[in-house]
Amino acid sequence: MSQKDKDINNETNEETTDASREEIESQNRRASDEQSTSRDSDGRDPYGNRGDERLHGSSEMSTHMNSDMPPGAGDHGGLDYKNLPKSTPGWKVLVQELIADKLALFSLIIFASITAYVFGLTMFLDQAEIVFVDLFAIHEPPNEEFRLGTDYGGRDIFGQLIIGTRNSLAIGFLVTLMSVGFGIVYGLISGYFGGQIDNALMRVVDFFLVLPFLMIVIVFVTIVPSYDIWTFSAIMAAFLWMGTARLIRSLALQETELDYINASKTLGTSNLKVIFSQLMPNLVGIIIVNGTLSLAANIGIESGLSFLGFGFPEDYPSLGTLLSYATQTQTLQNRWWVWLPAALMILVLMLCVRNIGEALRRAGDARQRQA
Amino acid sequence: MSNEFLEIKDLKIHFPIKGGFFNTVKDHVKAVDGVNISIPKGTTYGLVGESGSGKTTTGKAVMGLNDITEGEIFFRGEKLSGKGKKVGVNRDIQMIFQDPYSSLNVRKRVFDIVAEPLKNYESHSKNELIEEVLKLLERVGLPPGSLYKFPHEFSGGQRQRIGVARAIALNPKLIIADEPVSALDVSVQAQVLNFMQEIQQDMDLTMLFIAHDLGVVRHMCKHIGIMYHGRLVEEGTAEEIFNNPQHIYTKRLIAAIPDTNVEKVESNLKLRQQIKEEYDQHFAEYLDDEGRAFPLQAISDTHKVALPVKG
Amino acid sequence: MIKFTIRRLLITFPQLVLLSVLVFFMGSLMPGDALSGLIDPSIPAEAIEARREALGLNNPWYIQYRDWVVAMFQGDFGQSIFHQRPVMDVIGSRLMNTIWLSVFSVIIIYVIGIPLGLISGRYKDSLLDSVITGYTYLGFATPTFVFGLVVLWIFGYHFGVFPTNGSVGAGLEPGSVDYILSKINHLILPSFSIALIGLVGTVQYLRSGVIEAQQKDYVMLARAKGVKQVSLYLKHIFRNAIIPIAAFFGYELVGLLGGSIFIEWVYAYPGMGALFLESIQTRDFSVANVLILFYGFLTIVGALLSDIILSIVDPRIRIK
Repeated sequence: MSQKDKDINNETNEETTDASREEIESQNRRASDEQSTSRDSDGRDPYGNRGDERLHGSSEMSTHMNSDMPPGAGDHGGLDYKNLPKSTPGWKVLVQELIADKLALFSLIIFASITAYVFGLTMFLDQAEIVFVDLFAIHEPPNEEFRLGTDYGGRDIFGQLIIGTRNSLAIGFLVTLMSVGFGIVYGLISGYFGGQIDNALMRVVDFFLVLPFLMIVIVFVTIVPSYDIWTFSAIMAAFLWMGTARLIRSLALQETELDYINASKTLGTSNLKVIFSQLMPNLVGIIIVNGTLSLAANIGIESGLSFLGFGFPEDYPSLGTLLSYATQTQTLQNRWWVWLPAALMILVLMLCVRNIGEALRRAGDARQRQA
Repeated sequence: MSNEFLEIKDLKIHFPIKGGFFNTVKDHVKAVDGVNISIPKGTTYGLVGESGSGKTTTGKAVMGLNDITEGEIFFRGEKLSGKGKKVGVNRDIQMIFQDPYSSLNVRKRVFDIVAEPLKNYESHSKNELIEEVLKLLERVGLPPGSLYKFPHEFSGGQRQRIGVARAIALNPKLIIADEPVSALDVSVQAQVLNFMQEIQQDMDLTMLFIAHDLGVVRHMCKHIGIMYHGRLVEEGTAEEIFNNPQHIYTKRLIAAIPDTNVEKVESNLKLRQQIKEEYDQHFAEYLDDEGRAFPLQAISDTHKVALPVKG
Repeated sequence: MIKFTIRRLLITFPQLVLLSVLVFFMGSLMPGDALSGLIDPSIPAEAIEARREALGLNNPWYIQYRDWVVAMFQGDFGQSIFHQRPVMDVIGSRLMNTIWLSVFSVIIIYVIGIPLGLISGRYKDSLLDSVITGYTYLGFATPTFVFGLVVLWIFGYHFGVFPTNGSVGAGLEPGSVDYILSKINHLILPSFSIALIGLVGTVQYLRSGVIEAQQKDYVMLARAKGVKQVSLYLKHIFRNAIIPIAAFFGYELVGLLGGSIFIEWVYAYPGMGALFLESIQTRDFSVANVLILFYGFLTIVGALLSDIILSIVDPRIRIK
């Protein structure tokens, strides 16, 4: 949690006030100008040789083409345009970079295995049976029947760990989808339109950022009338979208200055289409990185809330629920098998997802330098 | 109402400078401050000036990318704009952008880039679209193999060709070319310029050609206007501007054009120094108290200069 | 400078108003009101209705809001239903504990974090740097409460070297040396749990700051002029890397105040975070509400402080 706070804080540090935002914005813009020019020259340099070759060749190009193509111009009937060469799209490069990073690949494999295992296994596990209270088997240490022992209600810890992991992952995905999705749309609109709209939208973000996140969520969880996995996710997401919104907005602001956006506007493309089919694809890399890092944070926040008793109800255990048993002195002191596996699971999940996210971020940077 | 194809009347574009305690508007940057331009059909008008002179802002105003503070823009006798608004998007007016790198979306294939305007205004099947795009690519001299490639696989000159293909896709009547070659290597510039001239003649295009380099527009343009700090300082046919420059700023620009004739190096240098001296001594006389150019005065039917008001 | 501060204050004001409106509405959404605690079956419904009317509970919301704000300015934050005491009394008894915890944590963060960050950046790619970077990786991925539980389990129970709950030993005279020592002893585990996770951000920030500064032109120049390695790092690189960290002090402190909820819960440490959770569990919403308002207020003030410090340190921000 404090780590999440820190993330938010770091962002707040960068640009909190009106004045500092504007200043930093113009810096960003300058930086982006520099970046784009340097990218251009960088971009030209690697291709410089190629460009020259083409240059020398291009004087011949028209004649070359004339000889190559049927002189009747417009008629391409004979041309098999479905087999024209295609280039690798950007996201494939991202995946390739990820695979090249050994630690990230290792993390990806572990994360994928855990996910597949818990989602696969829970299809065969009977949740009702696992959360069934069996008073003859309470507080059993790990044994042959219960691989990780039982809790104070005689419930199988191993089963709860599997179901808890699944639930924590599911809610992590759901919250990330909601908060990042909303943050993207919000940030894109703010950055694309700029000016007064941007100003107004960012004041709202500023306000959400000063709210004491954890407390507000706890209060909403307590007072919401119908409480289920959807409302729980929605409440969390409602106070977690600001980071994404700010990030996307500052990038959209830079990107909108570029002429391809102007070109689209003058070609008669509607604002909505420009935002989502021209602007957004250019931010996909950042969106993926941001989503991955958010997922890691959200898994932690969810288990934290469940740990405090404001997450899922007890018949719907999460990793945090298992950890919350450790607030009893006896359990913490003498029955490590109840809570330690869940603690390790949280650690492994968050570590893996963060590793993947960081590797993606590095890949994204490298790609920027190359392109 | 005149029969000019594009007519810009007393165009003013001011950007507010905000500041102070409540972020109120303190002052304005007068990017364009009373510019009149008219372009007859099928001709190219060259708008020349240093960076920051407002030439690109003028072009973008015609495209509807800037708010217009004051003034009117007529296209085929039809009024495009009102005060304080943007010009609406018009399929008959298209733009070629300065930077062939940033003006093409790096995430889109050539097909998507060139087909974008066609998708917006016309309904084609996928195959028809491909046909159309291939025709356009051929027209700008790109091989059909470019269709599914990404912009980064092309050189600057080729990218600018893609930009041209996109701009002419809708058979526009007017093209705003915003320094289309200034980002290219000198060796490619002539190539692209020649090919743009070809297309202009083929399609009977009217063109507003924006450049910071007089040499580039010399062969492209019938009429030339020189801009300085948001105002025109001299306007006339290409011959008038080059053979009989009146404004000191124009003279200096012309003197700055490089000459490949080795024998003339000496005399060119002398001429340049002479003009520089004149410029240093007298330039202030050509500006009014606020540092703006004076209003244009006609010295012949086509030639207008912003000479100091005597007296 | 003064202009910037005043403008920054002007932004702060609407935030405070909005926060109070939000808290007010959350309060009205919560079950129960000022009379719920007094409900006594022997009092007839008409009498309760009369009391409600007298307390203004039937007024339109904006009147109620106004009365609520005015009361707060007069120091009346309402009654705790559970404790049957004024809310301010209840919070006041917990306030100092949380402040001590936060101050201790911040000190540890800076005392450990700054050297680690500087070393890691100075000896980039060395074994030491790899160890420190690995630690920050782990720290970023570990929720504070998980770390707190493990620390408590190992040092509190397994080795039994530190107290496992509370803020002070029983039966000690407040103000005596033993009392203070006991307080510090109770602070060690919670504050280290917060700090060891909390410092990874500082370490990472400093590390990249140092690495970045090494490539700056003024460092190159100093190096070319023949400035000694030691003074190059002390005078040119470290100083520039540390300044922003110092400016973020306000955020750091506020962040810790908010983040200490988990640790106070794990260690049963009687601070405001634990009080918040208790008051939610006992449905004592008047306390919870004031705490939210208080934390929100602190966040706003902390951000304000940091921005002002930052504007002193980094003149670029205040140009406008």
